[in-house]
Amino acid sequence: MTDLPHDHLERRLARTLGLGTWIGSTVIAVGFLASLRLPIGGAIEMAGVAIFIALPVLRLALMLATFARRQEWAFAATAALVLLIIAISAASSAKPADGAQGRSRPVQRNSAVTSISPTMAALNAGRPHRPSRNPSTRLVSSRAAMAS
Amino acid sequence: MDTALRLPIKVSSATSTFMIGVTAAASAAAYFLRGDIIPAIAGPIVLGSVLGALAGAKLVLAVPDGRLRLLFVATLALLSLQMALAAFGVNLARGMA
Repeated sequence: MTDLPHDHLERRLARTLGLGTWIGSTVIAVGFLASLRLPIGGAIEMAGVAIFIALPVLRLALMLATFARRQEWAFAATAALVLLIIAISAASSAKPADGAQGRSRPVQRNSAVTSISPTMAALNAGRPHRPSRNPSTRLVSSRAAMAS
Repeated sequence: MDTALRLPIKVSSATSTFMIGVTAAASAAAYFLRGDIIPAIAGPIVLGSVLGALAGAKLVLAVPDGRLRLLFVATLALLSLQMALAAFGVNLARGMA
């Protein structure tokens, strides 16, 4: 017992999350700069966003593995449960997007967003136009909404 | 949390930030897989959030409890004012930009 196992996990998590945040930020910054000139900038930005979304999931996986190795089953089960919830929510909402990226139904999307976050509700309320179906015009109208 | 549980403001804000992260993780992947994330908007927001998080983490440690509460309330008041005005079609950012 020279080194508390708790300490070790915390430090490893901090290092993983910190490193991941820097990598994700760099990728997004590169993508943002690229998007000013090149059409693939958006794709690079999305890769950065994917890194950010993967980080908490990675953290949970790391915690699950560590707690399982330490045989702290209550904590391991909790981590597994949260991972399961994330997996279910991802799997259940991935279906409509299959082969139809950006063709989601705007009305349903807005109502879902509104129910989740009052901030988004307020933002949507201030938006003069509903986002349109076409991803490119949706982008333009959102930009116009931000500028106006 | 602050008033009901009588937690120190630093503890309550750290806890709520952590909880927002966990709950957001469940929906973020779903929105991403649906293709509902617009990179032109998400990119700058992420960069700004990371900078704000770094600055905020330093600020929380440096500023004493009382002043932090004041700062927090003032920020929330400003944000709620902006949101309320946005609901009526007035945009503060346009005037300042």
